[in-house]
Parts: sequence; structure tokens; C-alpha cells
Amino acid sequence: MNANYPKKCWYVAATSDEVTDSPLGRRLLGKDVVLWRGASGQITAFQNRCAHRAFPLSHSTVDGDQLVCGYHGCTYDTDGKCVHIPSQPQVPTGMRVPVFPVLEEPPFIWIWLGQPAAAAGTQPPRTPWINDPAWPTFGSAWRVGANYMMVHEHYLDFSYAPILHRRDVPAEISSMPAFNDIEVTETTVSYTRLLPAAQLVDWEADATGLDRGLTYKRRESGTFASPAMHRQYWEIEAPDGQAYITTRTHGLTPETDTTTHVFMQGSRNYRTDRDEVTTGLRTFLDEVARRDVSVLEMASNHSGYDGWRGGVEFQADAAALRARRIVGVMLAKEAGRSAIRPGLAPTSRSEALSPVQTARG
Amino acid sequence: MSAPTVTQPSANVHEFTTELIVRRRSTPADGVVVLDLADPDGQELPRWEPGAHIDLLLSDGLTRQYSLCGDHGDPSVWRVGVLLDPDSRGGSRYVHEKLEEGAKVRVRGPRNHFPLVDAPRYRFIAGGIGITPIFAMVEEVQRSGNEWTLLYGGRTRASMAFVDELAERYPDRVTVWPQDERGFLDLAALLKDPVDDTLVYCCGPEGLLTAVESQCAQWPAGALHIERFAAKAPTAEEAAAALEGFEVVCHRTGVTLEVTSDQSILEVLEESDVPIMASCYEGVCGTCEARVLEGTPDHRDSVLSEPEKASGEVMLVCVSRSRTERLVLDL
Repeated sequence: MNANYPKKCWYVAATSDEVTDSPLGRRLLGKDVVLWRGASGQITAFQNRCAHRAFPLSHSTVDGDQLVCGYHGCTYDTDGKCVHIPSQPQVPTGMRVPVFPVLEEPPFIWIWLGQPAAAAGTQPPRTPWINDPAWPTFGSAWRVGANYMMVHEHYLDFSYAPILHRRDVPAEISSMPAFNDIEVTETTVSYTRLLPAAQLVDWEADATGLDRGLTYKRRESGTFASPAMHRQYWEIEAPDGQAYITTRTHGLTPETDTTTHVFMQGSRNYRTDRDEVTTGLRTFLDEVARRDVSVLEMASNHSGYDGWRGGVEFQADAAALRARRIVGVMLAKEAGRSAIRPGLAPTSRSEALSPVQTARG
Repeated sequence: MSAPTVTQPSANVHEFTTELIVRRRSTPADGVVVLDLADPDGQELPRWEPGAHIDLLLSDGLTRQYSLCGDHGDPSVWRVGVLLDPDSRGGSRYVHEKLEEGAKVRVRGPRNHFPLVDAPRYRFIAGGIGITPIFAMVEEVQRSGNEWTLLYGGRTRASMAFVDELAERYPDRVTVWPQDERGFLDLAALLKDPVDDTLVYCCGPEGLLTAVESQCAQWPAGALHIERFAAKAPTAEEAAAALEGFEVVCHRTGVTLEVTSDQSILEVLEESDVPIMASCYEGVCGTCEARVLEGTPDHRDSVLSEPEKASGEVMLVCVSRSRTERLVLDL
């Protein structure tokens, strides 16, 4: 399969706490990247390969705002320019390593791995709630052995919840109802489904502290914000009308064609001063993630994304199909082809990304 | 695969729709107003790409499409340029007369039928208010560092929006061509010889588009991209013109079927074992797309773009119906 991730897009490379003066090597969109933080606090991303002997720069040391290769001591500034070589007085003209644009918006460090100039004037999706005291938030990260679109599509269709996560969904909700609303724009898709009143399951009762004797309506909703980000909300409506919202923000970054980094931030808008609620949610959501990873890896190992997307689509896949179309248009544009015709069924039986004759009117 | 026996409530698939406020209004050229639309509470607006347009929902049934022409990296504002059409049936007249700063207006979108495909070189051609999507494109291409030129024509210099801004910023790339000073655009000189790895993007009045199409006849397929202002969405009146019952002829299978008001075309096809793939049964997935050989479909899906719907060449048989007694499908 050809790489199916757009390059002209900001992806999460790491979380802020991961990047220190000890350089971090990471494969992102199939590229080996090294991220490091200089003395001034600024983050820089290089191709993880010294210009001299292809040594991984992740084995370097940071000296002020420069990176010193751990092999021959080649020293690079934040523009990727080699400014010093211990063994000779002159630095070879033009000796440099490729630099990738990065943007730190804690807790995320975003990276642009497409043509660097094209990053100018663009921004990653905003995530202000993560730093809002009204939304206590914790972070967790993992890796999935599956194509990033499988991870997106998994989160965009939560209809598996009563099966895969059956203890975590009220027993009365034996199947997820159809979407009530799907809202599309050129670059995003959002969806909402309303759930019938049901009793609390353990994690909900523990987290919210609401009365287990009552039944509650719920709303599950989410947004495909970009190929790099998905957000899901689980909202429990209390009798007084207050909405107890638990939300997962997923930074999804292709590592390779068949593996994905997930940078999750779990937030809530209730019991904001209770640390034990954070701890409990962290344990719960990590367990949910383990199950998610398990099914995705089984599907990926069995048939890969091509097999996955060749399957029969359900109504519950409507949001995922929209997301595929958004990504398909981005890929076609990057490949220098006319964007796919929106009416083309995006399944494997008709090659969704084949060139389309348009434009001549 | 059989049709679901119980009809599920179908999701309301719709485009982002909201009320925005005119934060800034200017008149950069004769008969042209530029509106900066923003969320009244300062919320971010959905992101868009060059070539995108939005609907202004002006009043009962009055919907007009306008290209976005500002900085697509700025999610706080959507900018549109609106030419006052002297024959206006209400759309541009309403914008010019009613949408002062502080006024509210409902908008829908954005969507993009004029996507900017990556290429090393571009030749942009704009006629009059057709500059709006092209302006967003040249800014994007300039940022990316690719090569481009713009030939910008209009009746008079004073009628050409953004003309000074463009000529000042990119003197080597922009050729300004007011008709009263220089006559008709010299398209032959610009397009006579096809150039490798070069895309031509054109937006403007119908006459310009036709001329550019004919000049580009020798260019490789897919090199020319034009934006025709989309056919307007069907009015309530037109939708009411859809027939309750009609006949569907399956050309390849050789059967003729009756569709009544309580059946979808797809249901009738499946009952008769006409081979067709289908999935969502609600016009969102695009699986059941069929080619229309004869007749006029009544499109009710949310997959096909407006130009595709207007072309009448394809339809989604799970939800769409017919405006003609007879519909011949390539099935």
C-alpha cells in the first residue's frame, strides 16, 4: 500500500515532557526524526542523521542551543547548519541537516513533515480545553500496530462499544443507536448520537460520584479535526441538567504505513479538585486503550488497511467514510492529481484514489 | 446483501451552518464589497483550503455561493467578495444593501469544488470577481515557493478588486489587463503552447471560461481547472416537482420497474435482483451510485457535489428519486 497520510498537515510528534536536553529519536511518517530542546527552551526537529557518517543524532548532547553529535562532535545550530567540527578548522560549505518546522502548544509538540515552506501560515487544530483549569487533564501515549486511518475509523465509529467494552457501557444499551447528527465541513466531520436513559456503570459512578440508583441520558459525540486529531466526548446528563463530560483528545501520528503513535489527553469537566478521579479515569482509559489496540492489531495483522476498508460499510461508518473522503482529497492534491470525485465510492473494489479526468469541463 | 427490514432513523447529515457577524466591510472596487465574517462569540471557524466557497443564506430560500478569498490560515474570519449584479434577483443586492458592519448573516459550508492541486508551476487567470478564489490560491502557492503567474482581467481598473494589492505585492507575476485600456485578454499568447508540469486555474464569467477551455485544448488532460459558479440548489418548488411514482429502466439488465411513493429506487432494484451494491441506505456512503442515461434525477443524497447533481449524469439510488416519468439507468 502506498503511504496514505497527507504530508501537508501538522502531526503530534511528542508531548512537551518528552523533549528535554536529552534528544529524542522517533520515527514519524516513515522519517527518522530527532527532537531536542535547547537551553532557551526552544524545540528543534532534525532528520535523525548526522551529515557526516549518518550517525543517529538522537545519540548527541545538547550544548546551549546547539546539538553536538555523539560520534565525531559535529555541532549543529537550530537552523540545522553545522557550525563546528572538532577535527578541522573549517566546516565544509553547506554542511547541514534537514530541519522540520515544529510548534509547541503544550502538552503537544507539533511537527510538519511536508515541504517546510508550505507550513507557513497554517496551524494545527486548537485544543484549549487541555490547559483550562475547568478541565482537569492527564496524558497517556501508546503505539498501535495498525495504519493510522484504522485508528481514526475505529474512534469515529463507536458502535463496537457494547461488544468490545461491554462492561463499560450500561447493559440496557445493548447496541449503539444510529447517529442523530453528522456535521461536515471541507476539512472536518463531527457526529452525535443520543443514548436512552440507563443506569451508571462502575467507571461512570466512580468518576462522577452520581447516584447509582438513577438512570441517565447520555450523548456520545466526536470530531475528526484533521488527519492528525480526533476528539471524543462522553456526556452524562445529571437530573439537575448538568452535563458530566469526559473527553478524549487523540493525537494520531503515522509512525509507518502500518503503525501509529497515539497521544491521548483525557479531560473532564466535573470534580475538578479530586485527584483520585484523575487516577481512576487514567486506569480506566488505559484499559480501554489496551482493548482498542488489541482489536486493531488483530485486524491489521490479518488483512491490513486495504482489507479493512474493502469491507461492507454500515450506517455507523458514515462519519468514518467522510473522514476517508477528506483524507482522499488531501492525498490526491498532494499527488498532483485532481481531487477524487466526491461521488466515488471509497472502497477497494473501485480504486478510490485513481486519477480522475475532470477539469476539462 | 439484503435491505434492512426495519428502516433506521437516518442521521441528519448536514453541513456546518451558523450565524456570523459582519466584522468589517470595505468597498475595494466599483460594485464590489468585501465582507469579513466572524463568529459573534469569537469561536474559531472551520478550516478551509483555497478554492473553497460558502453559502450565504440570505433570507427565505435566497442562497448564494461566494468563494472564500482571505487567509485560509486564519480561522477567526471568513472573507468574501461580492459583486453587485445589476440584474440581481436579490442575492448580491441584499448583500450590498443590508450587510453593513455588525449585521448578522447565516452561512453554510465551507466546501470545495475547485481544489488547488500541487504542481511546480501555475498559470492563474481571473476575470472580474473571479479573482476571489484565485487570490487565495496565489497566496498559498507563493508561500509554498512554487512558480506562478496571474493574468487578471476586468472591465476597468476601478472595477477590479484587490488589483493594486496584487500588482504591488507581486509586480513580476501579475499582469493586470483592464479591458478599456488593453482590450480582450490575450489568452492565445498565454496558453498557445502547453507547458510541462503546469496547471491552469481559471475563474471568471462564462465567456472567459469558454475561451480558456478552447485555448487549452492542446494541454494535457487534467491541466485545466476552472470554477463555474455552481448551479443553484433546488428550491422548495422544484423539489415539490419530484414525482411520486415513476418508471426506472435498467438498460443493461433489460428490465423496466415501477417505483411508487413508498419505495426507494434501491428497494425496487433489490426486489428485482438487479445487481447493485449498496450500504448505508441513506445517501451518505456513495456505494449505490448509478449512471443516468436518460431522465432527470431528483437528488436527495449528501454525497454528490452540486456540479455533479446539476450534471444529472449520476445518482444515488438509495434516497434520490426522479423528476421525469422515465429514468434510464446504466444497470
